[in-house]
Amino acid sequence: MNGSAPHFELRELAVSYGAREVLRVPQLALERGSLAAIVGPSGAGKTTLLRVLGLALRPSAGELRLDGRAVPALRGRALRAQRAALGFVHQELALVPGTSVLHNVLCGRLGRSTALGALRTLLYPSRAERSRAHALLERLGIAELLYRDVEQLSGGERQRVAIARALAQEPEALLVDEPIASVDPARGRAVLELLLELARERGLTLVASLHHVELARELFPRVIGLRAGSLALDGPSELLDARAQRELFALAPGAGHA
Amino acid sequence: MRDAQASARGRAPSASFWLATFLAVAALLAAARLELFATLHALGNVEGELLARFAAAAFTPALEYESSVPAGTMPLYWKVLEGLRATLGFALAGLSLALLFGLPLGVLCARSTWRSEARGAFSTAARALWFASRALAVGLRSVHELLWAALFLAALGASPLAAAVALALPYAGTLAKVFSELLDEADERAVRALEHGGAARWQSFVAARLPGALPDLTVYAFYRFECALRSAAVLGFFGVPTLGLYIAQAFENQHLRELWTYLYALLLLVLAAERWSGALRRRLSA
Repeated sequence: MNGSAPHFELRELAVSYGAREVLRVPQLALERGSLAAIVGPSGAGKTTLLRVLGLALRPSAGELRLDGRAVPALRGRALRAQRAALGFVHQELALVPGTSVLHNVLCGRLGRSTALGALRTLLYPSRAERSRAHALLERLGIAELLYRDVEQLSGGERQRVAIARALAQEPEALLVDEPIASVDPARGRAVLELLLELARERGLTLVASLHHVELARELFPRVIGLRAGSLALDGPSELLDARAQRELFALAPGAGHA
Repeated sequence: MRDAQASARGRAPSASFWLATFLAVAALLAAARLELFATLHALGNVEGELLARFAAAAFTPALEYESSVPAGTMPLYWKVLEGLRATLGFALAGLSLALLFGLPLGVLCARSTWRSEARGAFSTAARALWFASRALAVGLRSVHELLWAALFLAALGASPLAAAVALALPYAGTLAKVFSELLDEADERAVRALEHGGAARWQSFVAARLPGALPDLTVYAFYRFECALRSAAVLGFFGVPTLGLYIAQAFENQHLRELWTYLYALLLLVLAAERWSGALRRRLSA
């Protein structure tokens, strides 16, 4: 591991679907342990940027470097190992329907164990594995839900299960897509505070996409602003003052009112 | 898709429908065997008389053999139990073989098995294997078990294995189709999420795709078990010693009250199986 290189680094990155370019980032670096919020209007490319950082989407051009190493070369086992080191919490949570909370948390171990070991973990979790899962859920305040079916849980509980699954990967970074979209507004702040606490106590790099600019400014040390697929702002959250917010959320040039 | 299947299962023909079909087939086969129509034609208006006797016998099923039997012949109730045991046995053997062969084939027939995440599409080799698997499944289920039975029993004689295989082949084809559809309906977001967390494809299959399909598949397998019971009984007309054989023999000997005893035994067996799978269905869907 290269100590001086940033944890994530993007160079001349572009993502296109067919002829349509949806994201262009000339340069972006995130040091290990940095806590950043990606803000911007919907459709600005927040989720796309997160998916690139999480190795779920290959850029059409440019490169992503993790600890100074370019990743487009990664395939198979090496790609899986690198993905396991990045915990992703999806906006739609993507839990396995009809299974227990324990099953879902153990799913986070799949990329970290041998092929057969993973199968045994899912079918016959050992006492140690169960107690680790229990401890993780306890940290998230939902230990009593261990054996419940995920379909019986509330939105907020399901979100915590998704976070527990990502943490079970023992990741070096936590990438969270719109964490307050799936909970009621009053709980949104608590979820963000929890994520920041978890990242700080475990030394994780945290990147979260947020449509709620005020909370991003208040809670995160760093903000990355996207507008119509381009990097519009990157720096300490004080930069995100009223004027910057207006510019970020202003209608794209050329777009008229409906 | 899931809704369509659920309602298709809901509309599955009832036991009474199957019993009526079974009776019709039994009567036709027995009639053909006895050259009944030719005989009736020769005898004039005997047809009405036979039907009346058949209907009347329904109210007085036999408790003992209708004609004298050699000493040492097993009692009738024992023969009924033996017929039930054989019918149950052939149904279980056939369905087990069908599951053994149909489940792997179902995985091969699923679109999701062959789709590559990186390209989001099929490679040429994958497409060829997918097509071959589906062609095999279609081939198996497009031939009815009675035709398979006619083929195998003619080729191998009335061996128990031949009967079980005849039952298993079309059932494997149907199971493969249903299983592949259930696998393709699994929640793709969960499957993708696990792969993006470092899981290999087969791991995400076991951890996320399979758990979604298994409850529905279990329910369907139980439904097929009811079907297998009826099919096993009908295989008796080919000489396999299930209830169907005794029914055919009773008809041949014009022992209509004995015939009804066997029919009622079969009805009870099918009803018991339906009760059992119905209870399981309610528990799984609760």
